[in-house]
Amino acid sequence: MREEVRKNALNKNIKIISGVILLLFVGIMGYMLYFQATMAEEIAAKPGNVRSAVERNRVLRGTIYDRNGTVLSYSERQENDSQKRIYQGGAAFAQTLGYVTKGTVTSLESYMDKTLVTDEYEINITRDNFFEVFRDPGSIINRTKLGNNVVTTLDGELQRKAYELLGDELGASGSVVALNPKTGEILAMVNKPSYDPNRLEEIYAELNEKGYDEGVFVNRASRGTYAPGSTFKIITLLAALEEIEGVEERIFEDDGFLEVNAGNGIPNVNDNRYGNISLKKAFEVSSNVVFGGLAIELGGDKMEEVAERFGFNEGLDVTGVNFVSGSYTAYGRSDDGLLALTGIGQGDVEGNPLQMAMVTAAIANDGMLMEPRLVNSVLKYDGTTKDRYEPVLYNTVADVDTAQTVKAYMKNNVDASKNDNMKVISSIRGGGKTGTAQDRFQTTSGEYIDVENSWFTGYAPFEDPEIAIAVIVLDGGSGSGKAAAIAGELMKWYTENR
Amino acid sequence: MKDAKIRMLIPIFLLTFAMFFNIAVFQPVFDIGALIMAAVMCVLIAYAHFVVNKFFSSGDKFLVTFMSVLPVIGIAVLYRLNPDIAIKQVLWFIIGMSVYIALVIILPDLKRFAKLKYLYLAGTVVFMAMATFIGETRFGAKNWVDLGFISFQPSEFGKIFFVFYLASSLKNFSTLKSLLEPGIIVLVSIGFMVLQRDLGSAMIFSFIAIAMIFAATSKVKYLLASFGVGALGALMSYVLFPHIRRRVMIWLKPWEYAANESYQIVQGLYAMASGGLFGQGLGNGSPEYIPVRESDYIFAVIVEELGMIFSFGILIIYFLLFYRNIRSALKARSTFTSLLAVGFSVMIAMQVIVIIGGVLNMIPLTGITLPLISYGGTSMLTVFFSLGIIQKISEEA
Repeated sequence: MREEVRKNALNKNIKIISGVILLLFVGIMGYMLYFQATMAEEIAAKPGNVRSAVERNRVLRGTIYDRNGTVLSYSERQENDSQKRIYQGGAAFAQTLGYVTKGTVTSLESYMDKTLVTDEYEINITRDNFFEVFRDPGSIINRTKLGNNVVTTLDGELQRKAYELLGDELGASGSVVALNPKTGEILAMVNKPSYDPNRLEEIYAELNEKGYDEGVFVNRASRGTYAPGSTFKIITLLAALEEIEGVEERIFEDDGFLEVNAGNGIPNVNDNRYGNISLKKAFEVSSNVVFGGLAIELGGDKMEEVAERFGFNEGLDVTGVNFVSGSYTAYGRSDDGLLALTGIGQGDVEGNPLQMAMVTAAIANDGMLMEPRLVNSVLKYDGTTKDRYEPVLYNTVADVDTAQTVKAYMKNNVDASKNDNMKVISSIRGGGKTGTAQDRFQTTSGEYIDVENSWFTGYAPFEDPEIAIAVIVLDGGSGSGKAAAIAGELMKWYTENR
Repeated sequence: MKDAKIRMLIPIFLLTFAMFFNIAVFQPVFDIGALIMAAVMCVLIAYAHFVVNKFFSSGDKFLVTFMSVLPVIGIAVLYRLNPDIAIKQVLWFIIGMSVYIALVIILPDLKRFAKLKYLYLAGTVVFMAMATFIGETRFGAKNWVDLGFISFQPSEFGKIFFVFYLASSLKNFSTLKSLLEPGIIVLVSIGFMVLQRDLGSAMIFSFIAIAMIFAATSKVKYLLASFGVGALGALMSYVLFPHIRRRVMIWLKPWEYAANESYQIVQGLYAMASGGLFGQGLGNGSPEYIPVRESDYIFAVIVEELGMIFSFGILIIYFLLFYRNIRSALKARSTFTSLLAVGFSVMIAMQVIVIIGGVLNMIPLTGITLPLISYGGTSMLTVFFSLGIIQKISEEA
């Protein structure tokens, strides 16, 4: 009897122990799932994983071309059977195309990595080797061991020109993005200062010594978060044209300063007073008073809704590019000071050159925003096309009439200006909008300094736009100065030569 | 073939031939040897099923099924890694199965063995201490003994005596005083394991002891005390022994020491990360980069080549094996045999958890074998011996 009581207690304990063991097994399986779901991909791709390196080296990495067939990056087999990547495009293409080392793959090289390391094969079964299938399946597959090639949308010459026009130091450095407004093709995407990817090892060695990298590895054209300044007035203008009836006929009173209830008011540039002006004139002179006021009148929600049609806040996936879309924060009218600031592209608005080029491209293309992309096609080892990327409509941002009105206003900005840079753009029948954005810039020592970024975004020619462009020159001052000069020269070259 | 237990043979045979056919075609020349090996194992498994079901039908009929699948998987993977050791492993499988069947046939009622407490005590101490004095170091642990004609891990045999000893000394637990002697033996055994740097075995012994003491005493305070002593011991070892500090360090930051101390862990993680859900396919992975792939790290090879879903299957089979073992413990007639079954069940299950958890870097890695799958004769014999005892206990129901 005592034994039986003892055994009953024992059985109860055994069940508890079994429960604990079951939990441990479930825990192990749960951890394995967690491992596969969250960590495995990253671990497998680590440079120390010999598996991927061995497999990758079997195929000679494909070549990257510009849209006209010029080689930008290619790989060469070395004597010891390893591969060397040669970046023919050099520093002008560095952040856009990226690089590939044993451990890291970046930018387009990363985006198209799988394509570049995948070769073609054919299965070759004859009566003689039929049974080989069971013995050595590899023996019936003929592999080319030459990776597929990628043809980008970039115009190599335009890219180089843009690179030459930018400088290395604050006041001349910056980014350029040029799009084909009808197709979304990225014709140029340039950042300066840059680095020569062919010297990557030395650069990394220097970096280790210096401890900072001057931000040269970041594709700021598509990942930067800048205040777009007055270039954002394009969106405010579009919203006003849509929302406020008779706004084109209205006469605005601009006494040089916009009073707000909450926060500081907004002055015009140089405290200019423009007096009684039309909307068109206000856009031309870039009146902060009028456009700040319009933002308050429209409200944050309307402004946000229009901005989001262009991809702000949306996180659009751009083929071949790591894109950080612009952001817009909708304030209520009780925060009219902050709301007014967003109307002139300051405060809680961010956008990079790619985002602003998309805005202009959509306006130039009668309101149809084409998805930007960096890849045109994939070629097999023998040059035949394997895959072609077609233009895709991302969004209709405005009806044709409204878009054409904005487009005409942008042309008027250029035509009415006495500035020499604007005259160049006028001569090729282009249009655009300048911006002079108050911003903060982080120096290599980590400090923030106040800068005035020079912006220009425009298109050319008016009748049949072939190019839409956005240029930022960091601390370049007035938009009609350095940024417009670069944009004008690039658009002029492009419309005359392409 | 109407009998459900015999029908279980069909999927086992299918698995065996699928795996070995895969291996046979993977070789440059079709490897008929692999198929012969598969056939030998099928005959062995069929024979074991036949004996258990026909002549000892009062015992557990599913235990033999689960314990047949695991060595088949192990031997298939070993064959893919190195056919020579796979052949040795088949021999160990045959010997292990024979021990298992022999135990079932020849062992009289196990209750009679309850009185031999001091024999088990002596066996435990001798086998635990053996490697400390005449052992040699393999993979950083001094836990092998080479007697010239045979080399083995004495702690593996020590485990059997340890479980027998604890079962016989705890079967009539009454007062705290009666825990004194087993407590000392447990501490001495674990102490020897720590001295031999065999942390995996130290952990397994701890878990066996905690489970058996809790099962026998029903006292939560002893359970807490056991964990307290265990934690204190772990902390003391951490402070005292640099090799234990190193284990913890590489567990926390495996990638920082990827080229040196944590090379093995990191190579295992690479392998498993490359496996995905369905694996690279048997023969298509790169297990040649994984250290100790044939024993402690065989699970990483399995995940890489056969995938996570297959590995889940293995874990489920281990749990089913544990379940059948525990079922025998529950149905056992005496506390002695019930405790024996608990001890062996926990031993096998915790070994699975400790090594797989270590390979996954969930817990600090300690080198022990994956029961029935890893290469190794001593480990194979120990597990088959334990399963033979449990099979015998299941006849009590």
